Amino acid sequence: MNAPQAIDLEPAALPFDPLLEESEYAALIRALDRIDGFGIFFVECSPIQAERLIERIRDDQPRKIAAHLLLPGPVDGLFDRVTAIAVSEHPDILFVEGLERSLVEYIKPGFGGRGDYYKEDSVPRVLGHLNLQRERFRDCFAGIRFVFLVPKFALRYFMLRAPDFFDWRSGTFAFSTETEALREGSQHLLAQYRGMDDLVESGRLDAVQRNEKLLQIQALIDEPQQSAVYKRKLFGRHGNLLMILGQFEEAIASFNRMCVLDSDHVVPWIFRACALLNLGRYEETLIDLDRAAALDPKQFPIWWLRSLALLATKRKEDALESIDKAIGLAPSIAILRFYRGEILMTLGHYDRAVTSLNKATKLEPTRPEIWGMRGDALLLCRRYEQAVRSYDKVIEIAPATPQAWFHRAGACFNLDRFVEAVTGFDEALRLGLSIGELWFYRGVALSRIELFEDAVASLDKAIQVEPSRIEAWRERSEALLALGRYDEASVGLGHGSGHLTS
Amino acid sequence: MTNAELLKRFYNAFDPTRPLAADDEAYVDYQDVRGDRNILLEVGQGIILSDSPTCSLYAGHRGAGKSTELLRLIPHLEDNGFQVVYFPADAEDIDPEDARYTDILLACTSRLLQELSPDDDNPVMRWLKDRWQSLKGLTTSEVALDDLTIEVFSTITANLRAVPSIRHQVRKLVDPHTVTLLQALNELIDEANATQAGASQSDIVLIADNLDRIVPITDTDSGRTNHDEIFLDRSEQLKALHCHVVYTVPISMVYSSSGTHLVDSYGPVRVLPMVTVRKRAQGKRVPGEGRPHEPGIAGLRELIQRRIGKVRPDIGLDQVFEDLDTLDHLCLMSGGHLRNLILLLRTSVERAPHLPVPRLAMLRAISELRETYNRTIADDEWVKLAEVYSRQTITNTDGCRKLLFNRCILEYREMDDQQNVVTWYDIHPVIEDIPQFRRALEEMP
Repeated sequence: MNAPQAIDLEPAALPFDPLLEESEYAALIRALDRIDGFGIFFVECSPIQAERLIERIRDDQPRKIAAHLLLPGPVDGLFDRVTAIAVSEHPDILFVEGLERSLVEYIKPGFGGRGDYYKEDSVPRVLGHLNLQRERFRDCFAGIRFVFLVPKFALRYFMLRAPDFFDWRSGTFAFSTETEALREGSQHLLAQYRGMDDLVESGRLDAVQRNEKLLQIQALIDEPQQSAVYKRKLFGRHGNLLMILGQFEEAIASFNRMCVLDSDHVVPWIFRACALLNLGRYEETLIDLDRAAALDPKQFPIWWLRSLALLATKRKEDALESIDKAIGLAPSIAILRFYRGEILMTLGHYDRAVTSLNKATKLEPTRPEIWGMRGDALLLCRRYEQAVRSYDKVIEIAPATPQAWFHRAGACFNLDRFVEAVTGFDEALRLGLSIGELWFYRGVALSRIELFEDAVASLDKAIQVEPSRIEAWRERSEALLALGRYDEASVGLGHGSGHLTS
Repeated sequence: MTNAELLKRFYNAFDPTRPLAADDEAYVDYQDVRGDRNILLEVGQGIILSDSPTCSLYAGHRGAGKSTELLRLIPHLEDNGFQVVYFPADAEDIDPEDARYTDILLACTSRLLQELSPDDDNPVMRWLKDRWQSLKGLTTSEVALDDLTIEVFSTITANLRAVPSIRHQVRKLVDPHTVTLLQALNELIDEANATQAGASQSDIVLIADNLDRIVPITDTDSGRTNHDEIFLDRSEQLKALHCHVVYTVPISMVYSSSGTHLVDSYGPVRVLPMVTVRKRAQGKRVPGEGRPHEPGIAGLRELIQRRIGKVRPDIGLDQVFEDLDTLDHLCLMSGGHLRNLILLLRTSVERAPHLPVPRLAMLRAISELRETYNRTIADDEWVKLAEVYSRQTITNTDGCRKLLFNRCILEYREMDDQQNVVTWYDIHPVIEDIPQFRRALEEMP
C-alpha cells in the first residue's frame, strides 16, 4: 500500500445537483444495485430531470449498461421495442421515457378534474398490453431493471389503468424539487397577478379555513341568480385556492368551467396552463398558453409559464427566449430573473446566470432562494469567495437553511478553509441534512486538518448512507493508514467497486 | 456475508413478481385467518367428486395470492389423476382493449391442442379444414390444405394480438363458426378422455388464469362493461366445454350489479379473502376502532420469518428490523394483502442503508403506499369509503366496484361462534390516515 496521497478533488465533483433530492436518489441507486435482475421502477419527474437522472446514474454505475428507450410519439406496445434493445445492447438498466405521449389522446376532452379525467370507455393500448404482458416481460427480460420516467399524471394513469403491471413495481420515486419550485412559482404568480390580492392572504389560511373558504365559494357559485361574470371570477378563485392546496387536477376542473364561461378572456387560459404545468402535462400547457398569447400577448405570465414548460421538456434555448420575453414585459420582477438564472445554469452558462441573479438580488434583496441560487452559480464558476458571501446572505436572512450551510462549506472546502468547512457541515447536519455527500466531504475536510479519528467516523457514516461512493472507501483507508491502523485500512477496499485493489 | 450482501439478499427475498411454486418452503397456510377458505378443498374437491364437468369461477384481489393458490391446486389435481392445462392469459391471447369471448375460445383451443397434442387428424383440425376456404386469410403465409398443422392454429391466435384490422378480420371469420368450433373442441376433449387409462367422466382440467386482468371498459351508451359481455352474455358457451374449467373473474364484477347474474349462471363464485389482520368491530364502528387480530399478524410475521430464513436460517427478525412493534404495525398496514406486504418490506429494505432496517424506513414505506392509495381515490369516493369503514359491509352497487378493483375496499372472512362463515369488508388500513378520508368520516351523518 502506498503512502497516503492527496486526491484530486475537482470542483466539478462537488455536490451540486439541486434538482435531485439526495435521499431519494440514494434509495433508487440502492434498489437498482440490490435487485437481482428484473424489476419495475417508477420515477415521477419531468423530462429535464429525467435527463439529469439518467446522466447521473450512468456516471455513478459505470459497470452497469444503461439503455434509454425514448418514445417520441404514441406507441401501441413496448414489447418489440424492448426486445430490439435487449438483443442489441444487453442492458442492465432500461430507462423508458415518453410513455405519457401514448396516454394523451385518452384523456377526456376538456381535461376534467380528479377522478374522471381518463375515459372509462377505453384504455390506452400500451397500458392494456403492459397489464396483460407483465409475466412475459419478467420472463423475457430477466436481467433488465425497467425504470419508467413519467410525469405526475401518467403515473396516476398507470395506477388506474394498468394496475396489475403497476402492482409489480419494486418502488416509486419522485424527484419533485422542481415541482416544489413550480408550486412556489405559481403562488408567486398568483400573488403578482392583478385582482388576486385575496389569494396572498389565502396562502396564510390553515387547512380548515381554506376548506371553509372553498365551501363558501362553492355556495356562491351554486346560487341560481349568480351572474355569469361573477361566476367566472368565483371559479377562478376556487381553482386558485385548490392550486395553493396542491390539488391541481381539481383546480383544472374549476378552470375548465371558467374557460367555458369566458373563452375570450386571457386569464382562465393562463390559470389552467399553470395547473397543467404543475401536473407535468407540458404539451397541453403549451397549447393553452398559445391560446392565451393569441388573445393578449402582453401578459408576462404567459411567457414565464411557457419558459418553464419548455425547460421541463428540454427545449432549453426556447425556454431562454421565452423568459427573456417575459422579462421584457415585466423588467422589475425578480423571480423572472431567478428563473432565467436557472435556465442559464441548465445550459451551462454559469457566468451569465450570475449576472441575471445579480439583477434579481438587486430587485428583491431579501429572498433567500435567489441568494442561494446565486451562490450555486458562483460555485460552478469556481468563484468561491463570492459564493461564500452569497451563502452568507442566505444564512443572514434564513439561518435555518441547511442547503446553504452545506454549499457554503463546500465552497470553503475548495478554498482550503477546512476548519470553516467542517463548522459549516456540522451546522447543516444540526439542521437535519444528513446525506452521503455531506458526510463524505466532512470526512475529507477532517482528514485535511489531520483529525483522522473524526474523519474515519464521518466517512463511516458516508459509507453507511451511500455505500456505492467509492472515494469514501479510499479516503477512509487513507485516514486509517495515517492512524497506523493498517489492518483496518484494507477492509472495504474493493468493496462495492471491484476495481479498487491497491 | 457482509451487511450489504445480506441486505441485497433480503431485498430479493421480497419479490412481488413471483407467485410461490407449489412446494415452496416459504408458503404459509392462511386457511385459519382467511375464514377457513381453502382453495384446494373448495375448488379441488368439487372437481374430484363431480361426475360431470364443472365450471368454477374464482376471484380475489390482485396480489392476494390467487396464482399461488392456483399453482398449488395443480399438483393436488394431478395427484388425483387429472391432466391439468394451466393457462395464464397474456396479451398474446387477448386484446386488452377489446377482449371478446371468441378470443378466449380460440386461446383455450390453442392451449388444449398444444397440451393434449393429438394427431394432426383430430376434430379441431378437421373443423379447420372444412372451413379452410373461408378461413385461410387468417394466416399471412400461404398454407396448403394438406399442410394444416396445429401450428397454424397458433398462428391464427397470434394474429389476434396484431393490428386491430386483422383482429377484426379474424373475429368476423370465426364468429359465425364458434358453435361448431366448440363442438369440435368438445369432440377432441372426449377423444382425449377416452384414450386416458381408467377414464371416468372427464380427466382434464383447464385453468384459465389472469382473465381478471382485463381492465374494465364501460360502454357509455348501455352502461355495460366488457366483463358483462364476456362472462354473462357468453356464460352458456363458457360452461359448455366437456372438461372441468376454472376461470378467474374480476372481483369488481362479483360485487357489481352483475354479481347476482353471475351466481345465477355459474353458482357461487369463490373469492379468496384477505388475511384478517384487524378485529371486526361489533355494531357501528367508532373511528379508530379495529384492534389488531393477533393470529393474522402472527401469520404475516411467519411469512417474513420464512423468507428471511431462506436467506439465513440463523437470523431472527429482531436482527433484521430495528423495531418489532413497527414491523407489526407494517403487517397491519398491509391490510392482510400479501403483495402489499411484500411491497412494504421491499420498500423498507430499499430505504435502509444498513442493517437492521431502521424504524423510519418502515414508516416511510407505509407512507409511500398511503400516497399511492391517496392518488387512486376520486373525489366522490371518500364518502363511500367512510360508509364502508363504519358499517363494514358493502352495498351491491357499482359505486363500490372501482374501489374493490383498486383494492381500496378489502374482503375478509371469519368464523363466528356457531362455525358460520361471516364475510365482511373494510377499507384498506393505510387510507384511514388520509386527511380527506378523516374529513369524510367526520362529516358522516
